[in-house]
Amino acid sequence: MTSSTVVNLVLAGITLGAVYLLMAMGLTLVYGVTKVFNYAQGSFFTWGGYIAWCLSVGVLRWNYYLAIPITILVMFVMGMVFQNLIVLPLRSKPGWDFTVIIVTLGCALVLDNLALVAFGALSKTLPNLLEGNIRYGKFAFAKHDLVMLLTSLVVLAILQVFLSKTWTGMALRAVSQDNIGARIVGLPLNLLYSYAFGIAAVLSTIAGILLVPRTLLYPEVGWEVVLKAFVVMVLGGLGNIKGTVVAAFILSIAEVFISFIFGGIWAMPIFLAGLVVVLVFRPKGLFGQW
Amino acid sequence: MLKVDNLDFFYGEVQVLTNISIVVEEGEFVAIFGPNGHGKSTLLKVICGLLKPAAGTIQYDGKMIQGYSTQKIVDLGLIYIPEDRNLFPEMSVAENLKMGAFGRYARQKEATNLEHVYHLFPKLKTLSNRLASGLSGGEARMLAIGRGLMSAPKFLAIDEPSFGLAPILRVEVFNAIQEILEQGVSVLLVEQSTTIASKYANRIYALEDGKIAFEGTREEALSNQEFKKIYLGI
Repeated sequence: MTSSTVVNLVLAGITLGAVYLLMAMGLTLVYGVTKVFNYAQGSFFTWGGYIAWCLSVGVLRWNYYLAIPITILVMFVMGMVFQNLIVLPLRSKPGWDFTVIIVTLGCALVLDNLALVAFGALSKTLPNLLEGNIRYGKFAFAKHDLVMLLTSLVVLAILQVFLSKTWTGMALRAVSQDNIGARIVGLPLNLLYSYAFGIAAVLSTIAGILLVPRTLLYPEVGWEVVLKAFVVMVLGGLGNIKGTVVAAFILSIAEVFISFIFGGIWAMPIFLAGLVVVLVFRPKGLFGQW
Repeated sequence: MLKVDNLDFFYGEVQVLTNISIVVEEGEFVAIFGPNGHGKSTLLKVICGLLKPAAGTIQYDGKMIQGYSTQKIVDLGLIYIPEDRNLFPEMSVAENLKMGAFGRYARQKEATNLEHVYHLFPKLKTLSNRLASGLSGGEARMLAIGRGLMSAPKFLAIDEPSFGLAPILRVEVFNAIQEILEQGVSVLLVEQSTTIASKYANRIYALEDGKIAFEGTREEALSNQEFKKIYLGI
């Protein structure tokens, strides 16, 4: 392995890590605010991709850069509706914290199979956001990869500012830190739960638009991404933002190297085996609060 | 201002509150005493909408609020300050206070209310950048009360404000409550230890086994031999 290969792989890993981080932040936000692990988030990734595809290259042939914001808006609403119609009614039922796991899992299967019925099993793809490569001596970097990295970082920065500076963002943090406290000061909990799902759906959609040109788009494409995001979230220590960032980059860089050396199919088994080993010794994740 | 009538509440099969009726007039300071586990906190949680009563009515400011959500009740100016405090641990003191002013009306008066809270509890101002998880018991109690005041309440329902505090801090907390009362806020307070609260309260109830066991003015309570023996130990 030459030094330029190593550099290229590390760069590719960082790019991938930034996208996984978007997904993991969505899972973490929803888990923190609503205490729901949302299995359907992978389907949000997939459906975001299909909606963008329908609006642009697939059906309506709109300009791709116009299709993207509309897709994001549609998915935000879909996330809110999902929370309101499916998760919220369960909350008042006894044992809802277990029921909701099965229900979001069931929804993921339904959404994926709807995609299969609607769009077929053949893979589609979305265009690169920018075509072409950047060359610098021995190093080559696809422009789309650069867009992936920068977009992810900008979106994550916006998310941080939103969570720390705005009324709604602070209220989301407040709900995740003490649900009863949030009710006592009169925060609109149901609306905040919906926002959390809406924002997570947007993050998944952005991740989809960035990643699909690499992974292609097929009905179950979201599963692998959401599972990796899940590994990131757990290794990072549920809700620990610094931990989640570090875990995302460790895993993604490991993934590119594993794929390069042993082949792509080994990435997921090694991830999950690694997760099991880590959880045996550190049940709250690598960076969990002790 | 607040009128609770024939209130029943059950945790599952267990009846925690039986036929509770209490009244708090505007600007009044009413204390409810009673041993731990006899339903005092539950009563406040029912009043503020965290728990739903099985029977009975709660009239507040001319409205029947027993079916309202806590959010709606907060908007009407009735604020519950829990014994567990329920602060937001990973947020600063200033951010915790800001969350207290989330409601539509409170937001417009955020700056004035913040000044008022810092005036009542100067300590909170010096700690404004500290995370709530790093506060001492007394500081956390002040923050819980301060956060409640950020919504400019008309009615405070306070759960055990002096529990677990050093005597000097108790006095500080009660002085603050006194000042809150002077601004026309009505206060309903529940306490286990009656010593301080019985000095200030206009009227007193005793809650035993989920039922009202005594009701009267402070003078009546202090001249009632049985009440004195049970609750003041004299």
